[in-house]
Amino acid sequence: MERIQDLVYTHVQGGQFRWVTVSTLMLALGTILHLVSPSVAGVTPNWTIATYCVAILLTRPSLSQTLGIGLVAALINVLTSKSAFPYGNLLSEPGGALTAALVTRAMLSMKFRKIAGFDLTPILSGFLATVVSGGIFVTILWKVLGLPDNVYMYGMWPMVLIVGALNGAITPILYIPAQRLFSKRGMLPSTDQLTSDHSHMTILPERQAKISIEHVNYYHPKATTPSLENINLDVHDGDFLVVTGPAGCGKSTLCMAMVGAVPKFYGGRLEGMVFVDGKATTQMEIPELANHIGVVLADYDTQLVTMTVREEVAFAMENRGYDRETIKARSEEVFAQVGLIGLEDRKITSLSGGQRQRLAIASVLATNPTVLVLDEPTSSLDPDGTAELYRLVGDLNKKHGITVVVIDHDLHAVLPYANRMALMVDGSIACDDDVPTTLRYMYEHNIHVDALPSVFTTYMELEQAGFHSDEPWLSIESAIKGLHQIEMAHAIQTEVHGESNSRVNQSKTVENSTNQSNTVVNKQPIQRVDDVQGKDGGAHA
Amino acid sequence: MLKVENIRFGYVPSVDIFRDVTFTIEGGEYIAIGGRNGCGKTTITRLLVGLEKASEGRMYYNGTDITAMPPSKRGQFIGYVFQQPDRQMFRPTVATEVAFGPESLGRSKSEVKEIVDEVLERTGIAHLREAYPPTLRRGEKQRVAIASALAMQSKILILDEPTSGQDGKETKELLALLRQLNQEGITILLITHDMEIMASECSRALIMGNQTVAFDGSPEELFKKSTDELQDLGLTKPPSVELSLAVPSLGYCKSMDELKSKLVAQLGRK
Repeated sequence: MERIQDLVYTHVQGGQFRWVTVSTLMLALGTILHLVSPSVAGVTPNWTIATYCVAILLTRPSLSQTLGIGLVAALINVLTSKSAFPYGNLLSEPGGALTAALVTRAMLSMKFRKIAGFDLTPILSGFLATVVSGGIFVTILWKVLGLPDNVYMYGMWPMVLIVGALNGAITPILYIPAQRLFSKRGMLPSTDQLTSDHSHMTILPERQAKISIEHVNYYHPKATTPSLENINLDVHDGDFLVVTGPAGCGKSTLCMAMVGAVPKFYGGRLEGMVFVDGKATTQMEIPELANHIGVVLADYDTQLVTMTVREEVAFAMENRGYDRETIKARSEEVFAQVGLIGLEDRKITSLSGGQRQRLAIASVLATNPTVLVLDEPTSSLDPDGTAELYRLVGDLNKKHGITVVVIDHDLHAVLPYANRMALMVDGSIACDDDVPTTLRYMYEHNIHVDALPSVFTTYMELEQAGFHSDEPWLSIESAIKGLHQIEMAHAIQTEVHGESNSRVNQSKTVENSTNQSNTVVNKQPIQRVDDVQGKDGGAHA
Repeated sequence: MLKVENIRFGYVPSVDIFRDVTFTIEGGEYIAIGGRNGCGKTTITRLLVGLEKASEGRMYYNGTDITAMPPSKRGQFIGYVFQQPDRQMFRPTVATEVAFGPESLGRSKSEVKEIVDEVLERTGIAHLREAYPPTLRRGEKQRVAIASALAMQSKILILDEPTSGQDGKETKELLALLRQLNQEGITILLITHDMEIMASECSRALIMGNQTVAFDGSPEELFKKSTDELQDLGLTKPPSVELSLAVPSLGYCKSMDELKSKLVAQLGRK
């Protein structure tokens, strides 16, 4: 087995249905050209065939997809044909399309494919597809209408060959600009990119955790610098993890890696591995992963698809084949969990932003994921809504044991609920520790300090000025406690100064107290170094 | 300067959003408009710029009755920055976007250029003059909207929740710009949910509630009210005020910085 750091998984972004887009556009163009094309002595190029040849050349579809393209072309032709027996197209066009696909495949391995840098494939596929398609068509016509053999041999076949020659000429004329146009828009598959397949590998995590991100580097498609760099992060059962960092540090990308959307949706190259419940995300499809992890996106409105609140929550469960009774029971449970009881029959459009977000959470919770990931959940909420959301998420974490990962840059509201905090800078994790330690790290290294709650900044500033509190100021309550301690310490200090002036003066100056480490038991006022020394202990008894 | 008298308004004829709204805004004020969701914070400012019509009451600007004046005219003295500033931009570059106002006033080309240069400089987005507005960050879009208002020589600038959903850095930079504009004499009306900003930046708070103006006075007066009273208006005490109550000798602190310096000064005193 390979080491996890050596694992590489590449995924081509999107593109699953691009052959549909490209061939639809090309066939539409072909239909228009077919209708306006002038006919000279009864001869006109067959634009439909030329355009699907181009589409097949561009997107290299599978044979069954090719057959689909051929049938669509046939239907268009049946509807627009002036022929005596247009239904022949239903056989001739799939035949032509298959020919084009086979020629395209065969030519890839041919040595004489390019002459003086000019690709011969469009000419050849245009010609052969037309001859095959035309041949089938005239043969059907000949048989069905009972035409004389002479007409078939000396009238129809030469015509087929002439049109074939014409198509051999126009196919490259269409191919070259179309190729430029679509590749400029990134709509064509490129040969250097491939989607890896990990399904036959045995990939085991190094560490046991709910989610373990191991040695991960991630490159967005076409990027040369990694968006995530050497990430090692574990999310344990019952954690409430906050991931923060300056804009563009990769925190949303990290969150997308946890749910498999990186790289399976965004494409690109993943080195190392992300494990969810011990399974490699590259071996699971995104819908399967969704049973383990529920995600609420920053733009949660895009997650809501139905008309009413009740339908929305049922939708996710219906998709997974829950039965009616279960859906009913589970809906009631999640409505109670997120506080949407009484709103079940409301139209989604009539809900407020905060309510819609709670609905998105409810529909994610409905299928019992054990992890809830929220990407910037408060960016469109007002302070009341923010407080309410985190109260809800905190409850889900504490009372229902759901593991929570929150990506946010607005910290003060989430802090009371979090037990861990990871700071990301430039795609790497700079600090991953309990909340006060990470906040302190941010302050001391001057990273993303504008996101620090003002109460905490004040705590740090006071500490630097020599005034300590037992507990870091993470909330108003702890700050008030801290203030009282500082006051008390000050009161004691003044007292000490009054009592034993001479001894205090002998001890170190006030300024030295900044770096002292604090060893006094909890709930006792913290005193500055000089006090303790000056009093010979016992001052705080 | 801008006087609002006995305004009554409702989106549906039978349901008033508010009534008996009366206040006067003087030049150079920095006013926070607050209140709980749906209390009419945004609506009252929309009335000021003429985007809504009051069902009763009158408005005066420097003594002139502007109740019936269309929004396009009012744009010459009131600028508005929407919550989603992209919705007010429609030109291909920042410079042409900002030039739209003075152009429509019939200024000459050279005058327009001068004005645009000046306001882009003032709002700190001179480097973005050729940028395509929709591609900018929200903070930058807000600056484009502010620049457009300044280009009209607006005396009053209204901003609807400019800091919600922004990270701390963008918020700080925007507040610094607003402070500077306010010092240059521009009246600022800031619709905000952020109690820290309301307390530390603004000279006056106008709180909508109970379908009228529920409070009009200094932030200090406002936040000295009891927590329950504030709760009724959908407000909370900012941390600096809350903490200053814990140490009564400090007195009212409008910001954490003030709290810290007062505290250090007090503790430093022997």
